Amino acid sequence: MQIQYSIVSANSMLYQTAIEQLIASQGLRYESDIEYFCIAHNQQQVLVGCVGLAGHILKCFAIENNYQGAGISRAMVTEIILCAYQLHRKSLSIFTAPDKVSIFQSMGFTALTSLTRSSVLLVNRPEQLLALQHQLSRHKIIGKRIAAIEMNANPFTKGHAYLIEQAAQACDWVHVFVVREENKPFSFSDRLAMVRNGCQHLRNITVHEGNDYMISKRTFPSYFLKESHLVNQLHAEIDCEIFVRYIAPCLGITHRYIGSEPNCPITQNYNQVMMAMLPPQISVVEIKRLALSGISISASTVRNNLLNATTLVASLLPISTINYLIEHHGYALQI
Amino acid sequence: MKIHQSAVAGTFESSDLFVEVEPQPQFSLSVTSSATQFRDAVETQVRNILTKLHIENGQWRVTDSGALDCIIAARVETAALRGAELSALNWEEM
Repeated sequence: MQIQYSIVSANSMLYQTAIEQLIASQGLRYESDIEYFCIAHNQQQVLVGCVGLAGHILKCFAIENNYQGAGISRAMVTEIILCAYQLHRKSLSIFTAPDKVSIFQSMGFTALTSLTRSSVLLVNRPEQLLALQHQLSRHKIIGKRIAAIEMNANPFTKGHAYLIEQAAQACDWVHVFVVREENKPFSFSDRLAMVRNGCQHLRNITVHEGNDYMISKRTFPSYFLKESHLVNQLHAEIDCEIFVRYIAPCLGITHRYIGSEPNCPITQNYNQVMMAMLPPQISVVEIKRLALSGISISASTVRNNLLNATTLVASLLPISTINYLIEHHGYALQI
Repeated sequence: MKIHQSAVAGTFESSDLFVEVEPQPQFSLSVTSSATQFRDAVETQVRNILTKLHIENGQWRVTDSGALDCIIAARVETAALRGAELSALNWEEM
C-alpha cells in the first residue's frame, strides 16, 4: 500500500474540506487554532489520515477506518514531530483517548494523567515537569496552612489584592502563580511586575512565575479558546489533576484560594471542578469578590474601560498598579 | 566527536529507530523500545556505537520501534554526524 505524506498549512484551501470531513468521520471536531497538518494520501489521491500541530500540541489525529493499523500513524507522527522541531518546538504534548495512549507511548510520549478519563495528556519531555518540581520545592515553606492562588492579573486589581490579603491573613504562607501565557493587553512580564508591586507589603507570600503545567495552553488549551463545554470540563479536570499530583506536593499546599466568578462560564466551571477534585488533600476556599459601591471588581471591566472611563478604572486598581500603568503604558488614570 | 547542535535521525515507523540529541556538556542517554524485552540490548548497542565514535556529551534520546542492529548503527551514526556538523565518518576508526 503506497501512502504519500506531506505537511501542509492548515489554511490551505485545497485540502481543508477533505481534512474537515475526515476529522468529523472519526468523531472529532476540527479545531481552528491548528497551524499545520501532516496529511496522508493513498494511491487514488484520497485523504486517509491527518494530524495537526497547534503551538506545542498535536491534535485532530484521525485515520480513515480501512487504513487503521497499517503504520500510517507512526509515519504521520514522525513527520509532524520533525515539522515541530524545525519550528524549534521540542517539547510537545497531545490529548488523546485512553485506547490510543499505547501508540503514543511507543513513540516517546509519557502519560501524565489518569487513563480513566476520556482524554489523557501525554508529553514527550517529562523531565521538564521533574525540573519544575525541583525548582518549586526550593520554595517550600513548612506550615499548617499553605495556600496557592493562580491568577491572570490582567491587570492586577483591588480584587486580586483583596483575595491575596485574605489568604495571607488566614494562612502561614501564600504561593501566588501568575499565568504565563501571553495575554492582551498586558504581557506576562507586565502582569508579574504588577502582582509583585501590589504584594510588597505582605511578608508571607511568594509570587511565582506561572509555568507550562498550570493553566497553560499545554494543560488547559480550552481556557484560551472558545470550546464546547465537554472539552472545557475535561481540560479543567486534567489541569486540576496535574496540580494535585505534581505541583501541590512540592510546595506542601493545603489550601487553594479562589475568587467567586459571577460572569465568565469557563472560570465558573473551573472553580466547580476544583471544588470537586482538590479535596480531601487540598481544601478549596472561595472568597466572595470584593465589591465597590455594589459592583464587583473585575479585571475585564478595567480592560474595557481603560481608555475612556479613567476615574472608574482608577477606583478599581491599587495604587501600585495605577503607578505601573502610568509609568510603563502611559495611561492617563486619575485617582 | 563533540555534539554542538541538536539533531535527529530516523522515524517512529515499525523496524526503525528515532534518535534525538541535544548539546550539553555531560552525557545522558534514555532508551525506550516498543519491544520491551529488547530495550537493554538496544541500549547496549547504542552505547557501543557512541563509544566507538568517541562521543562523551549530549542529551541522547532513543525511541526504538523494533530496529535491527544495522539500522540502530546507521541511525545513531547519522544523528551523531549531524550533531557534530560533520559530513563523513572516519571509517578507519570504526
